[in-house]
Amino acid sequence: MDLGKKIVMNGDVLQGFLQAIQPTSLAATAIGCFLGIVFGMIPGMTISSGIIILLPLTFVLDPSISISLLLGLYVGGMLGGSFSAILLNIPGTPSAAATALDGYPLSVQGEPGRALGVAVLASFVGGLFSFLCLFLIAPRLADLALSFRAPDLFSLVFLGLTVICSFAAKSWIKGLLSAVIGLAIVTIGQDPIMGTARFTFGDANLLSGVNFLTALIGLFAIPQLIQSLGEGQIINNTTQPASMSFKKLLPASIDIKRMRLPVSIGGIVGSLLGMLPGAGGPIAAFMSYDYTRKTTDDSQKFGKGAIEGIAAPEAANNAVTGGALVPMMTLGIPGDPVTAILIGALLIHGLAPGPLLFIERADFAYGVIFSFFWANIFNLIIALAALRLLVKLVATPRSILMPTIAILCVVGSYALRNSLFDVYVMFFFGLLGLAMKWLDIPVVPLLLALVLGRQLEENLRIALTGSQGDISVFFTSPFSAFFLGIAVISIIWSIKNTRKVRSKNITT
Amino acid sequence: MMMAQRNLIAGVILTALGVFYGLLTVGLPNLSLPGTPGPTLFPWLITTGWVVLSSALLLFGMLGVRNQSKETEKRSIPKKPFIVLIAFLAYLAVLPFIGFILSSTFFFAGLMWLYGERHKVKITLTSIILPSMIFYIFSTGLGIFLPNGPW
Repeated sequence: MDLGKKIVMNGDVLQGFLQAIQPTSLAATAIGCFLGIVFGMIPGMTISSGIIILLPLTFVLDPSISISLLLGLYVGGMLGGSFSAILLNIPGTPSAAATALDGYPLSVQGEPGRALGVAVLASFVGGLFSFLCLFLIAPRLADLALSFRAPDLFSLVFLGLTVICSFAAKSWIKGLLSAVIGLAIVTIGQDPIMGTARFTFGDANLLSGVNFLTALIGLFAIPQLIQSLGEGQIINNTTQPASMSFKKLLPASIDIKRMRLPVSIGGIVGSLLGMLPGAGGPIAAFMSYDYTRKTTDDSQKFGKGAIEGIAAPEAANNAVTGGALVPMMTLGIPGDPVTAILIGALLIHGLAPGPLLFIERADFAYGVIFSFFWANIFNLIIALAALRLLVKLVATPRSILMPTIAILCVVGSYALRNSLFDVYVMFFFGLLGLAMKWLDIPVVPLLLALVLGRQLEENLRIALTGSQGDISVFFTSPFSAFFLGIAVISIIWSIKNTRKVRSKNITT
Repeated sequence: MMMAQRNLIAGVILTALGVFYGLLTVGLPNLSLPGTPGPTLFPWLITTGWVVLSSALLLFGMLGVRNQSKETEKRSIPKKPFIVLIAFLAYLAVLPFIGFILSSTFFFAGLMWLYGERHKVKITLTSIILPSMIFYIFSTGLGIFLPNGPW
């Protein structure tokens, strides 16, 4: 790297750092972490629900403050999910399911404080590890991505979609169908090259297409409202966490020694899998748990309250957050619904994540990276300092929480364009989400197709226009051929995996 | 209902929707320069993928239904989800006419009851205070003006 470029980059890093330590950004990060832990802790609530509640706020806040708030919520939500897994044996987030395997037994043995302390510390270390990955890898990947041409970008987005479908669905057909429906929804409105109106049925409201944040609110919040109707009873019958005592939270030195290997495994696996769109927290957490069990001498204690069994998945699921920010920031490809919302929040402020962000607004890009660092710091402080208060919040009545979410869904979708039309669109997507849930079709590929679809079409048409309709352009470019090759492998892997699961189900 | 039956239903509905999308694509204007892809290219690719995948799902659903045992799950359909959805729809219908505060108050109270709250004073107070708070925070604090209604 030449000296001039290095100086400019260092200046941007410094600017980003200064942006992240602005009092308003730090306050937003801390508030986001607190709310994230609360939303993650409440069984049945998801990080996406928390973000939906905060979404209208981000439309009016400064972009650096908005992104700090959302990042805090993302990081906090991952940890919060583990709290309910440890205390109630109900994972607050899917990523926390592996933590419950050993966290809950240790809690039942009368050591909930020890289990939570290990989870908090492991999450912190996992988060910091993924921050380092983000800081070191993202700028270089963005640099590389700048050399991508339209065929490469098309193949990259196509790869992102197929990988997401492979991981997100039990059935590859349903995963791909969900993505295809999402792509079809993207074609509503003006086409990205010539501005021709498509599928608008003469309605001017549809000319600008369906805003994916509106769709996201409906897809996640309405099914959540319905699902929560039947959950109250189950949750009330479980342990009352507020009555538990937490004598000591900071892990003892012997526990810290036992945490070293599992945290390292979790940090590496989480960061790497986080970068893979769609793989996400649950896979990383279970994989780390499994690796740790295999590498530990006394694997018999796993499932009975092993410290290693809490540390590994906890480090992994928090490391996933930083990993997931790498493709989001550098390529504009979201790995999960939360990073999709982050893209939406940035787009509202005219900041498109992708390689150009590191050129045009490198200070902002580094600001996001440093905000992620602060989110991990606040996560540790808030979790340890306010644990007793946080645990009491798990008992928030559902009868107040759910109606509030319902009303905020309306406010959030209305606030996008001050239009009731968007509220009706949100409700339509809510019904679509319910129907898909009933038919066992995953919604995540649809959502990510809504984010990536326009980019996919635009690059396809630019590439074909450049090659005068010759499709070999996608196979002659090395990058494009590489991405398409991996996409094909991921589809084949997914088909094989579906068959394996099906034959396993038949034999059992 | 067994998963194979659901796959069959999903296959039928999605194939029909895929065909409908294809028919709409036929009606699109294909304005493009010679030798360059027009605005119909992407919808055609989607139609192809949609119909092929949903037909495959339909086929798997049919095979699954044929292979499964005659026993079917008998479960009562819960009413509450439908009541919540109808209440939501009614709320959205009256929202532009009676405004955010009034419509949200009734909707909030109804949902509180549906989610198991039976304390009348608690329902009344919460459903008045929370929607009003949300309205004032958004309109005065954030400049997002929610529908006022006729007032």
